[in-house]
Order: sequence, then structure tokens, then C-alpha cells
Amino acid sequence: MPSSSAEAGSAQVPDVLTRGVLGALKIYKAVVSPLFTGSCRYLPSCSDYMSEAVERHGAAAGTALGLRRLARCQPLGGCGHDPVPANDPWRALLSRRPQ
Amino acid sequence: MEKNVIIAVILSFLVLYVYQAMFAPKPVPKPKAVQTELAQGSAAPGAGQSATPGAGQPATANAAAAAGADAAAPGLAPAGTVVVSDTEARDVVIDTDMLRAVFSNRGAALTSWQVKRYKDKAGKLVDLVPQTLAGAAKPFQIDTGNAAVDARANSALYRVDGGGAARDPKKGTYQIAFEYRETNGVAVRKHFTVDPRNYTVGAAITAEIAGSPANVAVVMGPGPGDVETSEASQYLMGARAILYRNGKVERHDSSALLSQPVMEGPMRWAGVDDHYFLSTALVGSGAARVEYRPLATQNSQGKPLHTFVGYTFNPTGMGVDTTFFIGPKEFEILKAIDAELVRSIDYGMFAWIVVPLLGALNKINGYIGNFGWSIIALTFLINLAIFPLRHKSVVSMKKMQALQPEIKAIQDRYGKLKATDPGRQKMNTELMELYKQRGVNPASGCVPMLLTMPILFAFYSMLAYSIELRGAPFGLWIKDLSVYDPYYVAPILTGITMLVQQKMTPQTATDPVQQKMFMLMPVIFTVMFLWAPSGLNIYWLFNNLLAIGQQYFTNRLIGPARIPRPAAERRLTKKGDGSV
Repeated sequence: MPSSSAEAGSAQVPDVLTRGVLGALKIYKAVVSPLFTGSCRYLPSCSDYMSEAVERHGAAAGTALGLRRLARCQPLGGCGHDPVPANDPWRALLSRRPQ
Repeated sequence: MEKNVIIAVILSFLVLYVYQAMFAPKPVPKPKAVQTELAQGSAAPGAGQSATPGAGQPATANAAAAAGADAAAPGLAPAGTVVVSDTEARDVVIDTDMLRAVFSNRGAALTSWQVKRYKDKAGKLVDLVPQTLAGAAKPFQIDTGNAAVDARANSALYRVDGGGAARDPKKGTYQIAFEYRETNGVAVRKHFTVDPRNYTVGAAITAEIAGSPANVAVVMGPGPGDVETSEASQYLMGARAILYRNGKVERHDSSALLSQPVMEGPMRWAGVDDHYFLSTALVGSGAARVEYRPLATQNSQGKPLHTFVGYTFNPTGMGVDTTFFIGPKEFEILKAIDAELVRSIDYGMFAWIVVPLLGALNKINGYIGNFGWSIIALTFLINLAIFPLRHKSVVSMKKMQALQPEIKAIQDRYGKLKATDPGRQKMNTELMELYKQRGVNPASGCVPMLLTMPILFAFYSMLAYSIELRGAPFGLWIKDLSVYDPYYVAPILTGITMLVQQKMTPQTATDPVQQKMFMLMPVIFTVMFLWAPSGLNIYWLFNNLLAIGQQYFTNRLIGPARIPRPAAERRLTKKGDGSV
């Protein structure tokens, strides 16, 4: 078995760090995010994107992906449908976005 | 279920906030202050009750023996005949437009230090030497480690060179020299250089015991004596230790000082501060040992009233030759003394935004002369800077409105689905694709939105912690920009502008929970802003007004939006797909 714990998915209990980041995002979405409803240029929204990325790829790669997305979510960035890469998060991080 | 969770979180936040705002800052009744020395008595020379052992002990003999041993000259009487001193108590007063300082020749110490630009709530000048603490040590008393010598040196009448302060017309400083001498070789000299323009005192102090130089430390009495903060308040913090070492500012409150009163090592500056005032030794690059003495005052019911902190400053070497700053934490003055001294102002994590913000505000105020109008001018400048950004989003918002029928068509098609249904996701994707095809995006993105928060917090810190804005009036009913609007007019107006702004913005949220939250936001914001500094409300109010104005005029000027219809869409319509 390949020992890629981050991508093992639902079978594994997420580690403390992952749960911490997910918890923080949940609080953000409940308390802060309603202030900015409809401000995100993308779908899924930046916070949803980050949650999903962390769930799928673990705290480190997921947070990195989320921050990368956040950096693009400004008037000079792109917009539209932009799903979390299904696998190989680090390569997705390094490559230029295909869109 | 999720809806309930969100509502519960928001409600609990509200309850917490309202509770804090309404019940915490109750004015404390002001009965006669009862002082309790928190630190060990021995650490407070000159505090009156210093070396008083319990009754019934054979104390006198012990004390005399100790004093004799300390004096290191057994043949001499503890108190020698005084050779240099004064016959009567006299005050040396320095009075300028910024400062009124009073040194007494009794102990050659500072008895009053009034900063003339700042008044307390009663309209009296703020005195940074607390006048209510009877018997407390005064700034610039000394500690040589020899209790008997210290007791005399801190209570004797010193001779004043030339009978008073000498003004240096070139530098604008004042020089005072005090001397005290006994036949047994005890001699203390203190030379002060007061610069009233930046609230500094250069202190050169030497002491001799039995004819040889003694290690001498400066005793800075309890401080700062900001009278206003003697009322316990949620918004103003009391005195605490503050020092700068290893490139970092350290703050220790009085409870921490009880367990760890001594700070040692190389330090740039060390002293005590409260919300608006600072008393500190400017060490520069040397090392020093600082011992703190927290002093709590209580009311008659034993409830804590205020905390002062005194400190004993002992630099390396026998004598003392150190400059002290005792004054308001005015940004420009601190910066001119030492750039790192600015960090004594507790702006928090957004200090890097507050500093340029305050710099700009001070500059603008130099022209306008009213901080309220200056805040409005600064808001205008900030909005001018983001004008192009906002223009882009206003234009695409306009296009959005033109697309509304098509958006509604898509929404209706998925209308029956619940928020959790995966089909809903598909609808969002479809909407996004529609926006993208038409080159429309209503949102400026998460980054600009998130950026407004630090700026808002920075404005808050600036208003709440800058002495420049303490008591700064705007006009009419707003007498102090740093505290809340007493009639809540500004926050309510701010809430109304938020509502108007929201009405002008096309709704993009499709989830009903989100839509409800969206509608609730102006209310939540208004409640949060009710007790915020009125200056913050003025900033936010004008920010909203400018945004509304820009949106309104852009819409009037550009007229109806032209949206290109993509080829794919046209083909689709020709086929007669009525649902699009």
C-alpha cells in the first residue's frame, strides 16, 4: 500500500493539525464570512475551497492550496469554476493554472 | 441544523459583546484610597514604613549592628555631622508651556511633573508623579543598598547650586545640581538636565559612603500618576512594567511582577507605562538591573482601585548617568528620542498599519486642526486610492443587473432543490459559467474584502491608544473622538449607510440562510459599533457614503450596460430552448 495518509480519505481519522485548520475555517465561515457574502470570485468560494483541500490533502498542502487560491481572488485574478485538484496537490501548487 | 448553529454562534457573540459593553465599565465609587504595598517592604526605600520589624523583637540592637556592618566603617557614628546641605526646604520649579516640573531639595527628588498639554476629566493638568500616595517614594530618590544611608540621603535637605534651575539658552534645557555631604564620608550629588520639549530628564547621580564610591540605583516612585486612569475602567489599562530587550517589547502586569519583579541584562529602555503615559529609563546599549514594585490602591470595601508600579533602576557601573523619559506617548516625540520607543504604544498586531495611518492623520491635522475633519479627509484619500478598484466592481455590478433575467431563469430551474442538494452545486457552477461567458463578475474578490478588516482594526487601535486623539473633539455633541458617541448617532447613521449600500448591491447569495445573514449584518455591525470610538464610526460612515456616492454616480453616468452575447448562447436560443 502506498503510505499516502493524506489522500487515504474517509477511512483515516484526520490528524490534529488538519482538524485544527478545519475547525478554524468552520468558525470563520460562521462568524466572519457572512460579513462578506458574495464577495468571492470563484466557485467553490475560497473558504469552501480551503476546507475541501485540507480535507483531501491534509493541513500542509491543503492550506497552501487555499492560500494560493486566496491570492488569486482579487480584481486582477481570475474567476469562475475552480475545483480543488483531485490528486497530486504539490504539483498542482507548482504548475501554472490550466485555465 | 447548520442554520441553528450559525445563529447560536452569532447570538452568543452578541450577548457577550453587549454584556461587556454594558456592565463592565461601571464607574467605581471613589472613597479614600487605602494603599497596600504588594511587594516586599524592603524593596521600597523611603516608603516610610521601610525597615520596621515586628514589635517585641530585639530589633534595635540588630538594626544597629546591621547598619554598622553596612557602613563598612565601624568607628563612625551612623549619622555623621552634615557639612553640605540646606537649612530650609525649597522647591526648584521649571515652568514652560509644555511642562511644569517641581524638584524638592528634600531628598533631591521630583515631587511634581505636570504635562501641560493634557488635562484629566476634571480639567486639571495630568501630574505624572501621583499626588494621592502619601509616603510613597518620589522619582530620583536613591538606593545604595545601605538602608541607613539611604534613609538620610532621601530625606535630607540638599544644597541647590545657584539656588535654582539654570536655563541653557542655546539648548533650551534646564540644569539643576543638588549636593549633600556628611563628615563621615557620605556624599551624594545629583545633577539633572531637564528638556521640557521632549519630557526627558538626564540624571547624573553619584554617591560616596565612607569616602569611596558606592553603587547607586535610582528609585522611581510609583507611576505613572495619570489621574484619569485611577478610575478603574475597561477601556483604559492601569500601570504595568514595560521594557525593550533583545529586540522585543516586554509587558508585565502587576500580578506577573509579584512573582518575577527583577529584569536584568542588556536592554534598550525599561520603565512603566499605562494607557497613555510612560516613565522609562533610556538605557541605550548598556545593561541594567530593574526591580519593579507594584502598588495597588483599594477603596474602603477592599476592592482594587488602581495599580501603580514603581521601579528601581540600577545600571552597570557605580554611579548613574541615564536619561529618563516621563511623559505622554506622543508618536512624534517618542520617535525623535528613539525610534524603538514608539513601540511602547500598544497598537497590537496591526501596528504596521496604524503607524503610517497615524503619521498621515497627524500630517493632515497639521493643515486642518481638527482630528474629526482630518479623519474624514484621510478617509477621502483612502477612497481615492481604491477608486479604480471600486470602479471596476461597480461597472460589473451594473452588468450583473442587466443579466438578472437570465440569472433568475437559471435559479428558477433549480428553485425547488434544497441548499444541501448536490444539484444546487450544479446551479452555482452554471451561474458562474454564465458570468464568465459574459465577462461579468460582481465581486472584487476575497482579498479586498479581507483587507478592509485590518484597516478597520488599525483605525480602532489608533483611536483607542493614541494620546493625540485622547479628548480630541469633533464638534456638536462629539467631544472626544476616542470614546463612544454618547447619543449613538454616528453608529446608527453608519448602520443606515450599510443598509443603503446593501440595497444597491445585487444579491448573489442564493442560499436562504446566507440571505438572512446578509440582511442581519447591518444590525450586528451597528450593535458592535455602538460603543466603539466615535472616530471609528466617522471613518466607517464616510467610507460608506463615499462608496455609495461612487456607485450612484457611476451608474448614472454609464447608463445601461452593454453585454456581449456569446455565439454559443445565440445558437442555443435559435434552437428554441425556451428555458434559458
